[in-house]
Amino acid sequence: MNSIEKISFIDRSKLNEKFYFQSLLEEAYRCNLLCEAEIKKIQFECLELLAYKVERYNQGDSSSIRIEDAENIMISNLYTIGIWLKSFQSVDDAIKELKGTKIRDIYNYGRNKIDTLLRSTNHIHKMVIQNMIHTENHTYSSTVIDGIKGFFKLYNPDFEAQEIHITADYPLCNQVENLAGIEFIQKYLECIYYENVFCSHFSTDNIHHMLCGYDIGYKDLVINIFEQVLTTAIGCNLAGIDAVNLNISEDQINILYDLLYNKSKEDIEEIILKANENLQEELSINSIPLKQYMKKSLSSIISVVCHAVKANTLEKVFIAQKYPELNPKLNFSFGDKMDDKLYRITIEEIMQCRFLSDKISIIKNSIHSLADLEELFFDAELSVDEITEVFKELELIELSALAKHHPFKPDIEAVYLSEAEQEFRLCLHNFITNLPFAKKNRILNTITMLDDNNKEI
Amino acid sequence: MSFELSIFSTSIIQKQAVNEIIKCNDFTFNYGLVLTNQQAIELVETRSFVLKENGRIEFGGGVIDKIIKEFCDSPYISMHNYSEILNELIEIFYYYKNETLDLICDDDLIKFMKNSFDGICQGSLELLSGRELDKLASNLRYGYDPDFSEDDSSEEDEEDEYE
Repeated sequence: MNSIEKISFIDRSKLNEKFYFQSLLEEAYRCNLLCEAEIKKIQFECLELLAYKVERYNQGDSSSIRIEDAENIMISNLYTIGIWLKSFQSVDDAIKELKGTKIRDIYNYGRNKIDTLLRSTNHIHKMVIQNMIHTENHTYSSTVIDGIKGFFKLYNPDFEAQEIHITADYPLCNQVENLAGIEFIQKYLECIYYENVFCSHFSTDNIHHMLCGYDIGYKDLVINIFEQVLTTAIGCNLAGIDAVNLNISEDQINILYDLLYNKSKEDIEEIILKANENLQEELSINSIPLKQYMKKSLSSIISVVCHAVKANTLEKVFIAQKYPELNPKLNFSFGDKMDDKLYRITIEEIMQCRFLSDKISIIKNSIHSLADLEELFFDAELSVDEITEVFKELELIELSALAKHHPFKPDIEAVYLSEAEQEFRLCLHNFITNLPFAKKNRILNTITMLDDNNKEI
Repeated sequence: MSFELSIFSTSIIQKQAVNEIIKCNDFTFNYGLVLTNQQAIELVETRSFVLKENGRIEFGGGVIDKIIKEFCDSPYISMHNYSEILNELIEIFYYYKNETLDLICDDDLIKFMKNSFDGICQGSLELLSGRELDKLASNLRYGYDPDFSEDDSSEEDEEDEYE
């Protein structure tokens, strides 16, 4: 026999999950489920509760409180009451509870519920840490470990139950919306847990190389790893290759173009939904919540694929792996610095020279390492034209090493660098930019090949 | 659905506060100080106005009775200026609750006000508000002792220099 559901005047889905209690009262009043006298009684009890909480907040030291603090405490109280009322299966039962129970008692039930939620969220966090993706992406690890730990440290359910205090920077594939406080964090962690479970079907190396294909500097990007993995895995499935390898070649991208080209959005949606089912079978994914999470994630993937088919950029969506460890690395030494006294004499000599040709000949004869030359640019008070002339005397690798060590970042420079160093960086940048195309490209390639720590070697 | 906090300034609560102030007359009568019903109403109105001005809210009786009981034995207060000084003290009190960032409790602030008013300020509300409480507020904000004085510390520095 089918279960009989009670018909309610209030549509539960229309209630605001973030401000549940307030929206429930509004709807109940609108539908005449609560009369004006009942609403006034509830309001007065809420204010009584606020007075009690403010006294606790001030610890008896003060009889008054700033309005913004009082408002925050009020929001916290209403949030806690909402948490309890949400636990009723039907809205009618929640209204019955409001009519028959004192607000102070409902608040206490809600407060206990928050304690339970805190314990369960802590447990989920432990599970998430156990099945973390081993990745170099900073946002992922700093949010999942340190950020959430910070939440547990700062969360104050008595007076700021609706706050989370952290920014939760790591973006989810399905963003958590319309929740606050502990409910938000619990949902956020649940999502990360499912994303981790899915990614655990792929090897750490494959994920790393696939993300390198997405962007070589992915460790500094704020991206969702699960979304990239799922998209590429679906691409592999569509191209008829093993999804676990997470690698799509150029030929396979062409196959995908043939498959998806000139198809309507509905057709592409159907193809991707089918591929998702096949992928679940291939990876033996049986967990229903994970399947639901994957299905929920597909809407954004489908729209990205549709757009990429039109723009001929499928290779940016279904990503081929890159192996940065195979790229040759150049080590370049800046050399030893000369004796301080000798350096001072050389700089004074250069500064006293009237003609550029004399300055250049001193530099050529006395400066024998790039470390000294680098300092000379800041100390010898050379003009822009003189610096440019010195650059002309340098080898390609020397220019590349200088450019690697002194990148041109005008946004940051004003704060951290001296005027001489800013001028030097601008000169170097302009000099390289104005070089012939082939030479400029060779320098840019050399810069990428140079090891990050080349100066110390 | 309105949960505005101003709902608290209802007439019942005001009436209750006036009654509490009138009750204080039994205590202050010994010092020759008595407030009329009209003056008590004025004090409550001043409190409501000042709370609003300073962006604060108060629950319960508030601090008026505490201020009355603390200041009633001051040699600088008599019947002719009693109500006027109380009104000003209430204004000063809530202003400096904000200025001290709530770092000092009600009782300590009232005690400090009384000691300064009777002592160094010799009954001057201008000196109390403009100098002593201002100094206290800045000391608390910068994490110094409430009694810390820059003059004292510079004198000490000078002494150290001569040693």
